[in-house]
Amino acid sequence: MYINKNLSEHIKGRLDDCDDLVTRTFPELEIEVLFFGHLVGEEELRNNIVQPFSNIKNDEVINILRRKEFKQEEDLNSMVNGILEGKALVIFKNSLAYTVDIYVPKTRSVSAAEIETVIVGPKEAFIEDIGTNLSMIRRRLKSDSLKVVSYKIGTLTQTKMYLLYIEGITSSVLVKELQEKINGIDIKGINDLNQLVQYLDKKPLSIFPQYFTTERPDVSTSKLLEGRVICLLDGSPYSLSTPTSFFEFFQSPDDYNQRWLLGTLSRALRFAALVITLFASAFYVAVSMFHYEIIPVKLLHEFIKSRSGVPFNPLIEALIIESIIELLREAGARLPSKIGQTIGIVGGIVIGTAAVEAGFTSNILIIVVSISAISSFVVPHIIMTASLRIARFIFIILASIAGFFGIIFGFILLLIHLCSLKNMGEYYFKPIAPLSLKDLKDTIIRAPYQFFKK
Amino acid sequence: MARILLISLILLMQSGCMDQKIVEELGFIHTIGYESIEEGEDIGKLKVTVSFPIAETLEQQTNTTVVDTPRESMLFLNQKTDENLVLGQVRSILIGENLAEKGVWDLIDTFYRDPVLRPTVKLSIVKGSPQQMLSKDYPNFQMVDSVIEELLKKEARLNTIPEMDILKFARDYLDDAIDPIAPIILQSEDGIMSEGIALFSDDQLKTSLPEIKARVFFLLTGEFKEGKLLIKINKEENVLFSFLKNKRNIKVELNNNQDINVNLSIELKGFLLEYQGKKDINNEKQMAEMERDIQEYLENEINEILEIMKEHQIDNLGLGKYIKRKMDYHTWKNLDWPKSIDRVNINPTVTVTIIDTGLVK
Repeated sequence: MYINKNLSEHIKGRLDDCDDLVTRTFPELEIEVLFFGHLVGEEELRNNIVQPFSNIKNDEVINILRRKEFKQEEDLNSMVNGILEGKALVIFKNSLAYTVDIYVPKTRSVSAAEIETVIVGPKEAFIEDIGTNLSMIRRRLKSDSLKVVSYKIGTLTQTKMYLLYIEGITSSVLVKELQEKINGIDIKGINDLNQLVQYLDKKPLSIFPQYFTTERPDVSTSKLLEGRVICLLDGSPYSLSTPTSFFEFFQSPDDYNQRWLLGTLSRALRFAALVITLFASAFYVAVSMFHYEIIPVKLLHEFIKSRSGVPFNPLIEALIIESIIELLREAGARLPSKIGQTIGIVGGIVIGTAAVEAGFTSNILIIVVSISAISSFVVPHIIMTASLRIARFIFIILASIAGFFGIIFGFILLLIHLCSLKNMGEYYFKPIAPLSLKDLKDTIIRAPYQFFKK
Repeated sequence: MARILLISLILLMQSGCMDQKIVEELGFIHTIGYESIEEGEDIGKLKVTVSFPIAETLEQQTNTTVVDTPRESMLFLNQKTDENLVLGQVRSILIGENLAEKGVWDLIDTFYRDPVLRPTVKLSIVKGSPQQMLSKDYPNFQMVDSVIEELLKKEARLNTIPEMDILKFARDYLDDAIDPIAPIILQSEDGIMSEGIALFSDDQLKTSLPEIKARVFFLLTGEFKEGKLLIKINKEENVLFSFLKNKRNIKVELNNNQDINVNLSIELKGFLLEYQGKKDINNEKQMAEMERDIQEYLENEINEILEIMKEHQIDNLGLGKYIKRKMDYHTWKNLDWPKSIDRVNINPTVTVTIIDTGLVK
């Protein structure tokens, strides 16, 4: 749509009732500038627009408009979108329109990662501005084979999204498949990458996260180097990487930054924690409801003693305590951090001790549940932790139905499910199933770097 | 989704299939004793005694009943207590001497087949009545059943009694080349003590070996790897011999399947812990003499054990296993082991080497 006359009126009509639209006019030059004041930087505005148009004569205007930062727009939609994206629209003689990018997002500065913390290694985390996030990756990967494809997601939010991959390492099939998937998303708007991930899920009923998201630019870069595709979304301090493996959620940059032996050991610890957090409470329920035979005789007396005053059966008892832990966790997550500590004291010490003393629960269960709660925090990724929490409840109920048989039944179902999950054509449970011995040295253990082949 | 629902439905229905045993509602039988009744109107029946701790006070409680078959007893015993008695935590089975003489396989078989019972349940023979042993109040300890367990464990470690569980017993019973053994315990004035080895023929108790002979017996089985041996050479001389190395060698020689010669050689290496007598322990000649004395003593003891075995036509040492290897199946069957043990020439030879006599020379 090309409009010669009354351009200013048309655009103002489109942006009717947008009181935050700022209009600056230079009447003697027949120039009108439209922009959203909160999207543009003051300095950029001064340097690019105010200064050039000050103290000049009419015939010099054309020269200024020929500068390369002035981009002539012919379409009304792109003019409006330009304004919405933080550009200033310069209208000359009410018929010619130029956009100048003076967008400066108002975001916080880069700060240390809060969720995926490490002991050794870079501290910085992504922020809500996609440009800054991209710069963090570009800074780490100075190569022309790093490709960035731009998208807009959300019919209303028009959220900017970048798809990053390294040409030559990442398979082009993968890139194409992901592009198709992203193009297939039809929504009004998106707030965070973790929402987007759920639109991409192939099996939405699964309890496991099917895409790996991280707030760390160093992790994202290493994913790129492994041949994965990275997505960045404006307004989200996360990046997603795909194809995803189950074992990625048990890796931390610390494994790689520290010496390999320590990395291997802490990884082993995490897998032990996985087993504990899944099965500890279920094991307690199974033993106290079905398999009294396996309790060591020295523990047996204490076990009966602590159980004998409890009015509930082991299943109800375990569910109550697990729910209390979940309450504490949820309360702790929602409260400001200063009050959050009180929750720990009230929940952990007061409720724990009082519940045992009141004969409400057995102290052995308190130990079991606490250990499994602590173990769940050892898993480095909070999204996986949440999945394991759900699985834990399923195991407790299965244990109450059929003891160890129930636990094994559930475990096999879980394994079948994990092995059947696929992510962008790759198996989720790789390299265990399908087995790839070569890849095990960076999954189960963390072998010295000399053992990795390029 | 339908599949998940179906699976959950099936699982929920399974809950009726397995009997729940909630831990605090159970009475865990720790020790179970069997004896046969010799007199009165119940003659020939089984007397079953169980001991189990009460959860709240941890005091030991015993319960006794008289029944016809071993398993029947659980029904009657359960009627006598508010707790549901279960067998899954049984640690030792005590069998009265009189019952053991009649044969114990029926009993062991019942336990052996039960998946709830661990196969490592300890088996021991009680001189006297298991019921009296379990129900008496002992001044020095509260829980007699755990004392029995600890005693058996400790004595087995010190090689005075064998460590016998139902798995081992069943294995030895079912093997036709060896007869089972079991430890003997008895009730003394102020506690429980071990009393050597019970020797079985098939599943019947035949005779027993006292404690000193028991240690020599273990030298012969080769299970005695390390330990102490008290040797009384004569009235004045006592040696406490602690050995480090015990090598046992059994060689079987067959002559036309008729004469069977078994050469039993034992090599002992060790040091003197204690010596009371006239010999000078620093004198090499006299030490060589002492080595010979010890050898002679041990050979004597071994011969006595072999005599006992021959007398009762039993083979608790498992010599039959070595003989069986040397002959074909048919000949072995015809041999009718261990009834033919007195046809076999067994030549024990013991070699003793004293490598050390102590710190001071």
